[in-house]
Amino acid sequence: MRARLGASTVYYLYDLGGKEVAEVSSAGLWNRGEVYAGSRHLATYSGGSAGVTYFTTADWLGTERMRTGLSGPIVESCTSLPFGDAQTCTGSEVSPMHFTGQHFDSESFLSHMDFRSLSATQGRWTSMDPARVAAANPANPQSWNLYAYVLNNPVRLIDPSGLEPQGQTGGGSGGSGPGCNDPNSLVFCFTPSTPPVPSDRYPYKGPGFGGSPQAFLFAGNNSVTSQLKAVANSVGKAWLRGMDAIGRASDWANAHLLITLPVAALAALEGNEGPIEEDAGIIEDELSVATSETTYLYQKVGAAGEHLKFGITNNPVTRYTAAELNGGRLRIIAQGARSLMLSLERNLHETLPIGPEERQMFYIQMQIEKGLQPPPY
Amino acid sequence: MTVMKYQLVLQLPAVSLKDYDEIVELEEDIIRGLGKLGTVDGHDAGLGEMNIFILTDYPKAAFDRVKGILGKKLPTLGLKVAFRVIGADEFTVLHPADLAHFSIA
Repeated sequence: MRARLGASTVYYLYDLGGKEVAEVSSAGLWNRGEVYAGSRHLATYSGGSAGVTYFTTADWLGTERMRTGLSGPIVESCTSLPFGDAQTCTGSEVSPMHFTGQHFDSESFLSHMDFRSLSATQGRWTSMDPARVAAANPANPQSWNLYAYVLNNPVRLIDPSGLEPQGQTGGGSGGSGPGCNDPNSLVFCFTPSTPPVPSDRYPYKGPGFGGSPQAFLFAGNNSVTSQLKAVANSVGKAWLRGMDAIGRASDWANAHLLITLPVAALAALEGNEGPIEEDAGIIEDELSVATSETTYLYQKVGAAGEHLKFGITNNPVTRYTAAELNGGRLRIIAQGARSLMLSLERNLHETLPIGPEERQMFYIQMQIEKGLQPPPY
Repeated sequence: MTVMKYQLVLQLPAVSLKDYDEIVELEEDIIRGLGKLGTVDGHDAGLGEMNIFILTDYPKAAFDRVKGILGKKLPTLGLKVAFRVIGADEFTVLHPADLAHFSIA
């Protein structure tokens, strides 16, 4: 990455893990090197034959508060407020690595994370979550603001990738994050056994993942893909359609994927796998071009996880009030072009099994003809 | 993207897939005819009803436009219409005029 510092140009070099490891001048001279121990920034080497090593002392978030020389003298100390704002340093600036150990641009007051930049003065991201509304959890209003940094809890959480806060409590079988312990959400959490290569970190939807039309995955990450398929196969080949990944990994040391398998979509798959496989390629193509006009197909479920209705919207967060959800929530089943979502929704109505949703009268007559018990039960 | 202030809801009885198809077709007509008065934000379907959601800054004018789109079909549809500020619980009823309460199932 190239940057202009006043009248001069410098280049920042990154390792395969996305960490900034060196600053090089436009003449190719090494200005600065950064030393890491795992994910922790350990020291800065000032570069050149007469280079000096400075050790970093950071707080619990990794925000760098003090730098010391080899023999222990303090050469720089910094204070800042929770979002990294009002940063004040005394002494010599030996490295731009500051808030949560990330590169801080003192000209723009931005902290550059992997996928987004944090505005310290505004206390929020400068761009919305690339997952857009899929990143919002209806049960957690703090997640509805797609510009909010770490759910507005910056003294406890960090987000070095810009994609997902780290440090939450909770967790499921091998993974952690929203929904891992929710018995109604059918969310599976797991940790890939083999960390993927760093270039595969970009959130990825659709193509490349078997027949799944909707999943945030990581391109070329066969380890994750194979585990995902294994999980999906164990619950009924649901990966052919209707899978909705709502979580993303941000730190491969604690990587996890959260996958929702909607009950109705699972039911719709039964005995219907052939046509779904044939359709999969078309579905993937249409979903992969989702834009700001993306339409979401959702299932409204009650407090006990029971099906209530399906719907489509561009704004799932504002569709219902909390009183209307009444302890239930929306499950995003798929997203993409409106025409495709309509087609999927109609298919779900056609195949919806008779169950607790007895007030859902769509296609009851056909269900009766199939020999299923009609409501009331 | 423009942020609209109100959510206008057109509620129709729907108990069959035939109803679903007809109301989706109606929704398409409204999308084509609403113009700059608002944006159709999809629908929901279930629990014996379908709701078409319109985001607008001018709910009454938008409903007047919808009435024009529906034409002679309006009295036969069993249509209920109300609007609210997005995020608010309370609806203001627009149609039928004597409807005492409006809610979304």
